[in-house]
Amino acid sequence: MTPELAARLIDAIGAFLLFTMIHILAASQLYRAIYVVAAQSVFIALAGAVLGAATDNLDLWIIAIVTLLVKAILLPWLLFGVVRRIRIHREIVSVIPITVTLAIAGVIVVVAFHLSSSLGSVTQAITGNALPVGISLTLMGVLVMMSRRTALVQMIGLFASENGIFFTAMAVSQGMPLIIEIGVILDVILGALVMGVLVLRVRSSIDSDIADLDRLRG
Amino acid sequence: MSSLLWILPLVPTSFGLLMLGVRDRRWLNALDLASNALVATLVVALAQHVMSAGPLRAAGVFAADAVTILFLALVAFLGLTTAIYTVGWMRHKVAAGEIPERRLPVYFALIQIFIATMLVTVVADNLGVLWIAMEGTTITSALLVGFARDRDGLEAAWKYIIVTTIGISFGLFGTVLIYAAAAHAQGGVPEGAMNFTTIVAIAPTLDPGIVRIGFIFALIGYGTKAGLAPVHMWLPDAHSQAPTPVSALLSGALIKCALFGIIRFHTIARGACGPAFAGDLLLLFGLVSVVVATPFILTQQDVKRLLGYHSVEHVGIVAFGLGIGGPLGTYAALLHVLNHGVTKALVFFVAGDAIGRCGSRDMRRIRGLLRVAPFAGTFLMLGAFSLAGTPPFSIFISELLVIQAGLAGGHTLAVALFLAMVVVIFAGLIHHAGKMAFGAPEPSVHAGEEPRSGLLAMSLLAAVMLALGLTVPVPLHDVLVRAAEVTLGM
Repeated sequence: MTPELAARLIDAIGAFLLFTMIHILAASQLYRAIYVVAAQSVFIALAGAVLGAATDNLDLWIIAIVTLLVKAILLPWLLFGVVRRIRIHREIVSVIPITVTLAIAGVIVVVAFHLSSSLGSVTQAITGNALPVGISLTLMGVLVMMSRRTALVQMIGLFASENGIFFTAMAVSQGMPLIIEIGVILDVILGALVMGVLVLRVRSSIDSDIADLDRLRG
Repeated sequence: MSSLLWILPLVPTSFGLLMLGVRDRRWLNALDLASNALVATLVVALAQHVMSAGPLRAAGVFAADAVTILFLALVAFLGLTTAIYTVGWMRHKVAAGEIPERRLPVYFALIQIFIATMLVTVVADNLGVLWIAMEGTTITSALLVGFARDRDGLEAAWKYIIVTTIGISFGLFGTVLIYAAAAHAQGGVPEGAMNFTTIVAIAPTLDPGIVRIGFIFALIGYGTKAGLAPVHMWLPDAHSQAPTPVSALLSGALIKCALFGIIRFHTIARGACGPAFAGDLLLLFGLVSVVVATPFILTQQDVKRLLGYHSVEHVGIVAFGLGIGGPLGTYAALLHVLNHGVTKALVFFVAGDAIGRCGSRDMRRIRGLLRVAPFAGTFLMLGAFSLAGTPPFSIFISELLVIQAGLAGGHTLAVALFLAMVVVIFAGLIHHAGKMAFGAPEPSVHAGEEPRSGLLAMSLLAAVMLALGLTVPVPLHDVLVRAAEVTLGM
């Protein structure tokens, strides 16, 4: 695969990633948000495969497979498991009106692209538009977390945010060293498990959403 | 000698795994003490080697220079004193039925793994390893924060893990950007482009634009974990709800490990974009932290939350000192890391003791500690005076040096604002502490004997706190001077 083709494919995947992110931001149902973040992770794995083919780097292929297994299958399965255990199917309530959230998301994308186009030759080290797309995804993930007070949606925002980092990290020259990437994914899994345990514990002891607790202040 | 860097984190890890199979509380305490004593011994050996034979590197994963030694010493010392304090504290908790005996192995194992992740954080040379270990500290300590499984503890644990995980993911993005810059500067060769020592060596050739963005991301990321305002909201919750020995480790050691991350990126940014950019940001965030913490310190009623806000203030002071920069400002900031860690562990121990006696964390109900527990009451006053920056205690020295460096660097306005806040905080803290130490204790207060282990831990901390206030010993002075040079990229 030529570098030009890889860059074009990465740009296309980047567009899909932004599209899925908008969906997560606007999602009004928990199930749908989980499916979309899983789909987003499939695109990340795809990006890993494209970059692996373009750079002839076996490590990137391994990272692509691990991403697919962990972020597209294991973590969504974990989220569904928690949803089933706490038996909530309620709609996601937004703290910020959805139109405002989407407007902020638009601003984030514009600023991210403007920021990376202001950089010099160093952007050659990163394939295609992976840098601005990665920055946008990361910031929009934070936006998801801030605009909802539902524990599971906050976790989805976190995973989406991390997807942005993975996307940029893969596109840097030969990708991050494999061992680091594996360590990061291990942290993501362990963190998700601990969060899941905390959510279930609060649900079973005081029957409330952990993200809704607000007795500690001042 | 470099194999020591691998052995160091393995010690608490293996002790932690071993503890999972131990049921008896006394054995668990003994193993806890043994593990921390062993780590402390290794750190001393490592310090002697690094100071006489220069920095160590291990396979591009771990490294030890003077900055590492300073933070290792803090983590090891606080680990050991916390293990000593835990002996009496845990006996009381188990006797009172607050912690069921069957959950003890998990508690002790988590503490050991938590210490191991902190050790990896500060010996990491690879910035990716630094990040992985930092996130590891969050995962282990979140379980410890919510260990009591009560409503407030779980709320604090959730806020802690969700805010610091998303925060620290910015740190990973910063790491990726610096990695991209370093790989580009090496002509597309990624080998070593994630290692701090390699990056610092080529720092002047890095693209300043991308390093600037990378530093901002890293500062937000590690700053969240360190508790710098305005991303400190989780800190008073987590540090106040955690079990007392965990609070001491979180406030004394962990947030310092996050500062270690900031220091590493600061050094890189200085090399690539000159001293002004990173320094000004740190100065600003440091000052904002001190200012933001002040009103909360004055109006606080919960003693452990009060100490949490003090951590925001003191992390701010460290960032302020780093921001002022120069050999003196950096020296002062690094000394402050040590001074605040030691003092904060001491006051958390005293607070834990007072809460146990008065059955409340509300400072309006903690009265007459000097009468019911003369030693703890004395340590409370000593710790409060030190925390407030009074001579002859250690924090006074480092704050004075920060101010001196600030004035010499021409930051008159910032120093004036800083001084005003410190004076107000002094008044507020002495007011709070005085009421807790003096006055008439409520009749319900539990007088009782003071556990010897707790007193030993407090005496060790207070001795160091006082000694560092009187003089900085020559070996420590050498470490600090070297560490300041490393931080400044000299």
